[in-house]
This record gives sequence, structure tokens and C-alpha cells, in this order.
Amino acid sequence: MIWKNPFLIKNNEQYENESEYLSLFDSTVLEIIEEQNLDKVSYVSSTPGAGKTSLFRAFSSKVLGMLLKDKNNDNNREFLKYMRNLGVIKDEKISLISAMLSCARGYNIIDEMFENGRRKQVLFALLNYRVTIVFLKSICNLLDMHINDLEYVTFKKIPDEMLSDENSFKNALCAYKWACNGEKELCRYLDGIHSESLELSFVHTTLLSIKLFEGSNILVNGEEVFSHSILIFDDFHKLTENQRSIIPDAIYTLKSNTGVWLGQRLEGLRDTQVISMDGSLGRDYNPNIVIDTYWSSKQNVFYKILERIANKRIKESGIASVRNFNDCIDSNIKTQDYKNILLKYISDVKSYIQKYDDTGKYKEAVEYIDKIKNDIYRQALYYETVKVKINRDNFGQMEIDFNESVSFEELTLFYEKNKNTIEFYLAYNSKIPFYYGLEKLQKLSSYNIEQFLFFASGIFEDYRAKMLGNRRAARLTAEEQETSLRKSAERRWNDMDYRYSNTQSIKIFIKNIVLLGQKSRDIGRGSYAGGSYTGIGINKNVLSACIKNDNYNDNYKEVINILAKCLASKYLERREVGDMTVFYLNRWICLYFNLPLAYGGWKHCDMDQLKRMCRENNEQMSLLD
Amino acid sequence: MENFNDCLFLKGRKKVIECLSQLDEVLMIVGKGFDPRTCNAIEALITNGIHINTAWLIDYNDRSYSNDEKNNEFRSNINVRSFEEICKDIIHKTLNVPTYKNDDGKRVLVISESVKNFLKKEYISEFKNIIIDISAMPRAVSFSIIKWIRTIKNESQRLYIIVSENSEYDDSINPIIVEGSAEYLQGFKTFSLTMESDGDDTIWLPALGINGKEAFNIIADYLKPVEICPIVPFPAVNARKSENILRNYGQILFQEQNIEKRNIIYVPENFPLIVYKKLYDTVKYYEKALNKDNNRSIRYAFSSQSSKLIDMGVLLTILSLEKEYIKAGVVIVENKGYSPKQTYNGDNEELCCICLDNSEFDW
Repeated sequence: MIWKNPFLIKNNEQYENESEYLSLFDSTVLEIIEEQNLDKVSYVSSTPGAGKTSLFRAFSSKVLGMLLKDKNNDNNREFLKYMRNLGVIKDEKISLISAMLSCARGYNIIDEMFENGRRKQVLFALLNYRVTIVFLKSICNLLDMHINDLEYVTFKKIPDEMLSDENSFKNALCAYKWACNGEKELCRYLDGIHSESLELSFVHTTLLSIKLFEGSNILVNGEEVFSHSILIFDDFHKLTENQRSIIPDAIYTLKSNTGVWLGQRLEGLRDTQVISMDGSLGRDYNPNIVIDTYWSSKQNVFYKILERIANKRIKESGIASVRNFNDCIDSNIKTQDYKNILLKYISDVKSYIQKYDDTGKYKEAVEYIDKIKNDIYRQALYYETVKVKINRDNFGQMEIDFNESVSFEELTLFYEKNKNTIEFYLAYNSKIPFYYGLEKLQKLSSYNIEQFLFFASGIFEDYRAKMLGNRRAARLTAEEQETSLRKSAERRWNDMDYRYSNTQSIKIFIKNIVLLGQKSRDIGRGSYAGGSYTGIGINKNVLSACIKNDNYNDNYKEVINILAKCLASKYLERREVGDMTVFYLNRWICLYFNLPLAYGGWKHCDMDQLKRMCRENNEQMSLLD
Repeated sequence: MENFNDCLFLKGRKKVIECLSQLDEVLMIVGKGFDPRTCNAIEALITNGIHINTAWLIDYNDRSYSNDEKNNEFRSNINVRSFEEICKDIIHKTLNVPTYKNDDGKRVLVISESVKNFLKKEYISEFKNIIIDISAMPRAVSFSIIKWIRTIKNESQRLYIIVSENSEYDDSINPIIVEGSAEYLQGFKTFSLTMESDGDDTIWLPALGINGKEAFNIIADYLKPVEICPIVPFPAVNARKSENILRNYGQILFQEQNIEKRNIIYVPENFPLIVYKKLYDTVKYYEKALNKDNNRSIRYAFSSQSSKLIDMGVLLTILSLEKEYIKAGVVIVENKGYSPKQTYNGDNEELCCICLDNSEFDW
């Protein structure tokens, strides 16, 4: 039997059953959705692997149905709680009916086949039929009904435009037959099976099916069962520009209570929400949900989610001796293993201090550090702290310095404030492992669940291999973890070659950002969070001017193009910091190039600098500070 | 021919020329591209006295900003000059049949509509024999052209597919693919194939190639199939090819996708009719096993990252299944150019021809 790494199981597989999904899904992710998302238009954008499809699946009728059936399962408690708070579950009944349509079904070719009004009518006809089918199937799943039982489902009010064909909507079963027949006939027409032109009903001038399937409009045995309904258009970015414009327009005009979620991939630098004249923010549509940036402001919550996901996956592995992810890995380095290296390094730092501490400012502190016994690592950390302080004194900003002696307490305070930076510098300078432990793995995720699972799968695989070789083996050591993570990062770096036609330009650009980071790291002043730059910042207005009105400033077209691709493939992460737009390197790139994993350190650049960074592998790039 | 079992397949320059030497009123369709094999077939036919009346060069206009684009463009221009030189004594022209159209900075696949718009029935009606050289055509283009011409030609017209097969070179061409961009190729009853009323059960038969892992993942995410039957070339010119492929795809196939080893279909690399037979039989087996009462609507998705002859086996399978109202289509992944090997080794090149309207028993 082939062993299956539980971290490689994809959680959005259609054929994976609902209880497996529930066992692996962490319900904290549902925080992203608020009650207002249930009855307006919401754009949900993300890069691949951020968890968009998984999130959508949480609202599917099959999952909600399973949730209620299995409500006594401890695993589902939190999930139920979220759904109750959202109003999806009321009085222990599902009050939301949802349906999902993928836009990756060749709708875009319709714009080529027809012109003007006809193309809109054909598109809406196809969508109306399909929306009807998916909603009715969803009702059957949720209420555990057979399709034929849909005759007991009726509509409170039928939109006026549909009244001309009232018989088709006298109950849901008739509506289902209407939709199936209509879809079949239309598809045969579009496939060129019939050569005659197809007459399309007046109903298809807009997306009336959305109005028909408002939650409160659906009656089961004469009673209102649902208070909300949501329709999810996944892969919305696959439609043509024209289609992406007319669909929201139609929805805003309808003023329906059906929530519509437009799921799409993050592409480009522009705000992906279509601002239509017919809709207004707050009344008709909600602010854009960008999953990638949502979690960056809720770091602790997200990291907890990752920990729970990892532990759930460990449980799936079925290995009795391992209960959670921390059972597989060491959280600290075994300092005894690195004693000689650290001693050598301390000796080097002592020489450095002697050379640069002319005034003996740190003499007192150093004497105290020398007294630290039995903890060579801690000693090394304090020496590194002194080194950073000296670098600041000697190579940093000019300060008035009264040459006052620095006490050990002051030094400790400084260390506590800059702990991450000093640990990084020590590890980098002395060549001991730095990238190990669950916390680093969480940071390495760059707020992307798939990325976390990718790196965790490598770690788990190596742990399992180690265990098979020696059953008494302990966890993966810090060094083994770092080796595993570097191997995975290298795979990602090499995979870039197959993604874009101008990969070389992208790699040059990224390497130039890396160079800035490495230079700031090597200065060793700890001026930036984590110890170095890990990103670049551009003034928001300047960036906006370059991409305004779809007319890229020709001069910076290449820069914009590269930034857009880097964002879409998550080589860069975008943050808004005051009046700056900051592009951070993905944390796996930081690992690959020995940069720290903390956010916060970035270099202000102008567009001309960025333009040079696209072309030149510029070893001479200077830091302005 | 509805069923291609008895089609004539010719392997080797001598046999191909011998068979085609009897033809008259011939239209030859060639793809314009960077592939060094672009003009090999047409040159072989013309220099051996085969009477080609007209030659069309299909410019499918798949341009992009590739690292190798300048090289590709340069080689494409060389091929165009060669084509014009070879065809100087016959009627020849270039037809623009764009594969993609630009829409708000993104590319929309329009090949099926382009083929319909630019290859009209009246343009081909005067020819008794139509030869399509797929050596320098991406599969989206070759599949669309072959399918369309089969649709519009009349029964007396005969269709031949010719290729300068070189699987080693095919393996060296790396497409630069676009993430998340899989879709069914239009023109194969695609709308009927993806009807919402039919349910979602998809069985996927991907023909694996050495460099197709990225595309495999993209298509798997798109289709979310209930069953996967990977197609692996064996025997192949490179005897270790199947092993290398399985090793390359090992984690994806057996860990991520949980594929059973017995699902793997081994097909000979250079015999498209055997490929066709095996795939056709596989689908018919699934139909029998899963769709006994014809109540369940299963769709069969094919994809190929493999050699041109295996591509043809896949295409013939889809064409046959379509005739039997079994839902089958081909999934492709958009690419933004190619990164081929700089030097071409023609040692393993072999001219092959599938005569779709000829029976091997007549040969």
C-alpha cells in the first residue's frame, strides 16, 4: 500500500465526502464572512491556495446538511457556532440555501459567437437555466428530497416577466424541467447541432432566476423555510470584460435579496471590484474581500488556524505515537550540538567588540555576559546584542553619545525588544539553524493555507522517513527541518521557470529586492523588523497614476506587468501602509535567500528604481539610508 | 468513417510517399510556427512528385512575450521563407486563424470560432484530397482544424493527417503555461458536455508527457474528476520514457490524487490507431460498468502533454465517442509561448500519415 501524506490531501475535492471535509476544515476561517455578505454582492478575491474554494464549500448545502446531522460531533461545534451567529442556522434548521456556478465553462466564447444584445441574451439565458438547476439541486440535497419531490416546493411570487410562462413556474419541479430542457436546447444550439436561430424568451433579458430564488420566496409545503439565499459565481475572472460588467449591472438593477458572491483570482494591481453606476457601496455591494490580506491583520488567529489544520492532518495520518504537529519536530535547537560553533562565534564577536568598542562602553555588560554559564546559546545571543548595539553606535545615525556605560539590564531590555532580529542575526552569522519550529512554519505560510500545507508536507514526509529508519528516533531536529524547508523552497524557485514567459525578468526583479534585503541584513544594525528589508514600498498615488484608467504609463509598463504577475503568483504580497503600497517578498523567498521572516522592513523606492530593478542584476544597488 | 479501427496508418517516408503519390487535386494545410519540422512534410511530398495544387500556411498567431520569443520569431520567419520557396510553383497563401483574442489584457481562446470563420466549406470544395500537416501546430489548433474540416467536407473528399514525428523534440518543448487556465477546447460539443443538468461526474484520461506536471495540476483542479486514468507511452522510442514519467509524476499521481496503479493505460508512442483503440475500449468499459441504464451522465475529459501521434489517437477517440453520443472533450491549458530546445536533432524523425478516409484493407 502506498503511504499517503495527509498534508497533500486537497480539501476542496468535489468527490471528497462532507465528513472528511469537516474533519479537515478549520471553521475560524468563516470569520471572513459577515451577515451583510448574505444578501448583497460581495467580491471574494484571492491568490491560488488561499482557501477561497474551501470557504465557498463551507456554505454548500451538502456540508451544511452534514453539519446538522453530525452536530454532536466535537469537531463541528465551532463550525455550528459560526453558522448560528451568521444566521445560517436558526432553531437548529438551515435557513440558508446556496448554489455555486463555475464561470470556467466556456461562457467567454459566447461573446465571439454573437454580437451586441444577442450575446447578452444568450449569456443570461444560459445562466438563468443553470442558476435554476443548481438552486433546485441544492434544495434537494439540503432537504433530502428526490427531484420529483420538488413539486412540493413553490414560489411565493413569480417575477412579472416570468408570468407569460406561468406554467413553467407553478412549482419547482416544473421550473426544473423548464431549466433542464432550456439548457439542453440552448447548448445544442450553441454547439451548432441546430442550424436555425433559437428564439429566446423575454425572461432572459436579465438574471431573473436570482430574483426567483430569494430565500423568502421559496416555499416548501407552503411554508417559508429559508431566510437567505446565496449564489456563488466561482472563477468570475474567466469571463470576458463585457460579461464581468453586465452581470453585476443586472444584479444591481434587480435589487434582489439574494446574496451574490463573485469569487475570482487576484490579477493585476487594480481594484478588482467593478464599480457600476447601478450599484453603490453598502447598499448594493459589500467591500471587496481579499482573503490574502484579510489574515495579515489577524496574524494570531490565522496562525492558530494553521496549527489546528496541521494537527487535524496529523490525526488523519493514523500514526498512533503522534498526536499533534509539535510531536514531529523540535521547537528549539539542541545547543549542545552547536557548542563549538557558538564558542568560535563568540570568540569572533569578542574580537569585534574589542575592535569597535573604543570607549569600553560595553565592558560592564560583557563582563556580566561572560558569567553566563551552562547556556552557551543565551550567551551568544547577548554577544550578538552587543554587536548590534555597536553597529548602531558606529555606523548608524549620529547621536549625542555621552559614552555612558551600558549595563546588562539595559542590554537585556534592548534584546527583549529586538529578540527576533538578534536571533536571526546570530543564526545567520554563526551558521546555525534558524528556520525550524511550528512558529517559523506558520510565518512561512505568508497567510496562505496551501503554502503552509506544502512546506508542512515536506517536513512530515522527512519525519516519517526518519521514523521508518529508526522507530526510536525522536523528532526532526532543527537542522533537519531547515534542510527540508530549503528543499521545498528550491522546488518552488525552480518551478517558476514554467509559469511565465518572462520569468527571467521576474527573477531578476525579485533578486534585486533580495539584494536590498541582504545588504541591509549584512549591515547588522537591526534597524528593520526582523533584521533586514524584505520588501519595497511605492507611494500609492504614484502607483495609482501608473495604472489609472487602464492606460499604463508606457514608461513603467514592464514594472506594472511584473508586479501584477508577482502578486498573482504570490511571489510578492501587497500591503497598504499609510500612504505607501508595500510589496513584501513571499516568506518562502526570504527563506531561500536567508532573509528574516518578519514583516515590517521595507525600502522606499520610486518607479525609476523599480524599472532598473526589472532589467539589471544590480549588485551595486545602494541604500539611501 | 465513424470508426477508425480500419483506418490506414503509414509509418515511414517511403510508404507515405508511395501512398500519396496517386493523389490529385490536393490541398495541403501547414502550420506556421517555430518548429523546425514545419516544412519537412511538404518538402518531402513536393520533391517526390506528389501533385499538391494548393498549400495554405495557417498563421494561428499565438504570439507572446516568451524568453525565447525572439528566437521563436526568427525561426518562424525562416520557416515561412522555406515554405514560400518550396511552394513557389504552386498556389499558396497564408491564412490568419488566431488562437487567442485579447480581452482587457487577458487572452480568450477563440480558435474554434476562428477556424469556422476562416475555413469555409466553399474554400475546400474544389479539392478531392486534403492533407493537414500537424507537425508545427499546437494541439488546440490541429484538433480544431481537423474537427472542422471533417464537419464541412463532403463524403467524397479524403482527409489525411501527416506529421514529422519526433517525440524527443516534442518532449523538449516547454510550454509556458498560465496558472488556473484550463478549459475545454471549444468545437467539440463543449456546451452540451458541460451542462449543469447532467451532473458532475468526470473521468479524466490525461496523456502524460515529461514536462507536463504543472498542466496536470491545473487540469486536475479544474476538472475535479472522480477517476483518473493516466496514459503513459510504452513502448516508446526512449525505452525508459514511461518510467521517467511515472517517477516524475509519482507524488502527484499516487499521493495527491490517490490513483490506482491499474488505472494506468500504456499505449505505444508511435501507433495512433492502437492508442485510439485502447482509449475507446476504456471508455466503453466505463460506460458499461458505470452507466448500465444510461441514466447516469458521465463525461470523459482527455488531455495531452504527449507526442503528436498520441495526440491523434486521443483526437480519434473523441471523434468516435461523439458519434455515439458519449460526452467526450479535450481540456487544454493556455500557454504564453514555448521554450523549445535550441538545436534540432532529426535522427529520430519519422514521417507518418493517418488516412482517415482510407481503409487499410484497400492498401
